[in-house]
Amino acid sequence: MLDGVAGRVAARAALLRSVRRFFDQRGFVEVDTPVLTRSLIPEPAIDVFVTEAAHRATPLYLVPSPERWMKRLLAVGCSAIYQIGHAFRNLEEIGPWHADEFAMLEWYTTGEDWLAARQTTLSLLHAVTAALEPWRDASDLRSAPARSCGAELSLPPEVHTVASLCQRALDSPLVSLSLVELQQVAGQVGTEWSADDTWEQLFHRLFLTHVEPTLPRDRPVFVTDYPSGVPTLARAAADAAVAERWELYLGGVEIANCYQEEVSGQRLAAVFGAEAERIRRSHTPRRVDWELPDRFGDSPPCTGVALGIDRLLAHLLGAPSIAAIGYCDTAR
Amino acid sequence: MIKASAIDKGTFLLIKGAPHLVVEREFVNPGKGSAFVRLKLKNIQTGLVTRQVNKSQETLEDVEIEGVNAQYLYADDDSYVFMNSDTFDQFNVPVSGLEDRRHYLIEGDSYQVMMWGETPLDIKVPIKMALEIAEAPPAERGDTATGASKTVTTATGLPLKVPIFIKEGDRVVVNTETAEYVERAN
Repeated sequence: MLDGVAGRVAARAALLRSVRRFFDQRGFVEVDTPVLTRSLIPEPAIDVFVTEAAHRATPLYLVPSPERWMKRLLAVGCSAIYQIGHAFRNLEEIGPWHADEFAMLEWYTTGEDWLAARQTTLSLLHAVTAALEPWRDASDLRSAPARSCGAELSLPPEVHTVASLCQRALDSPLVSLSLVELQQVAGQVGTEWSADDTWEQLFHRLFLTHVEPTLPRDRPVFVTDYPSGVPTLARAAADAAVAERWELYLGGVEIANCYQEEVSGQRLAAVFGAEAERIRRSHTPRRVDWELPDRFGDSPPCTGVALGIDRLLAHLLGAPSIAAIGYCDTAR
Repeated sequence: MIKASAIDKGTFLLIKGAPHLVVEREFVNPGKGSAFVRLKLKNIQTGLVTRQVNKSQETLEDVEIEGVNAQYLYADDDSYVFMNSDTFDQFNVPVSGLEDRRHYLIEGDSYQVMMWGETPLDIKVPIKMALEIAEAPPAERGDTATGASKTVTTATGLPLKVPIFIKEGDRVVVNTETAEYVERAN
């Protein structure tokens, strides 16, 4: 039974223990990197928390993910590392699946590629599910209507490319279209768009309106091969229109994502350069770790996966939100 | 005008000249993309449900509405019948889109009806209301584990999960936003 604070404390501890056991048994090393940082990787869509030290003018940021630090560790020869830490996103609002601060599991390995990482992720979810078995009938969490619960991990996952999902829902694969062609598709399916929409924004309007709500909720779903028009640090596939990247959905909610990491120093520098201007114009300008392409560039091929601990715990316990599995009164 | 990120469930928007009720809203921020608000809208006049996704920074046209104090009289097949407390005029509020309000409307009680000109759009109910329990199964012997609960029905027909000590005829406080039991009313 999971009743009250003590139960939620125990369930979370069991999850964290099982994650550590899983990675320790596979030869990964746990790392513990700083939460305060002086520079970031360029991710213009993420708003960061900015703070400052009392006697220094340079701003400090709360990390939106440990990616920058972990890639620097990979660059100096660490080959299989994981971290359970807190990440901070200066979101405009809090919702059932969003919070300013959340627990994130992130792991990197040179030992397998992004396709093999799907099986590893499922194995991890099975291990965590087994560890949470005593709390599965958490009466005080299931009392509210639960939107997210229901994806049975025992059912085989579905794997779909973004292009195939878009083709089915919109009669167009979207991924290789120009912005003007995306606008034409939007017009055909009656989706309103704005003249200042970037390619990424219009793609997401269409994807979030017509595709994401149709994903199966009763089993794990991997959505793969995201368009290169959504800028990330994932490696471009042989078909350059898409990147080697997947997202795992459970019950219609993104739980984890994976990249085959871009390790070409030249291409990383190009991505950083292209983002520089967008960063300067973004809501919260921030300092970028311009050394990262040099340091991390030309490292051995590696895969990175990030997984939302709170979302996973809420899902496995059938809770209606990540707030429902918390045990600190963050409202005060 | 209202910013998409400020829109809430229950907000009224003017979409192509027609008033729409926001029946669902969800903040979505794809892992690697911009922030959006996903809306499920119901056209008040046609009942047609549509979905749209707006960037959270976009602005939309909201509807100017005015609250009118009115006494709830009764419900017929497709409307709730009210009497304006100032003018004593009777008027109908269509049930469509406001089905869940029937659990919180008590004959003879006063409510605020939200009007768009002459068109009633919504009935405001208090966030917490005391409701009488009409049907309650007796607690089973031995069922004393902490947190044990049972399902009862209020006089207004709302099924409710309550602690086992609640009996028929008790009045309980209900959160009308979540349709959940709060506490026993004194």
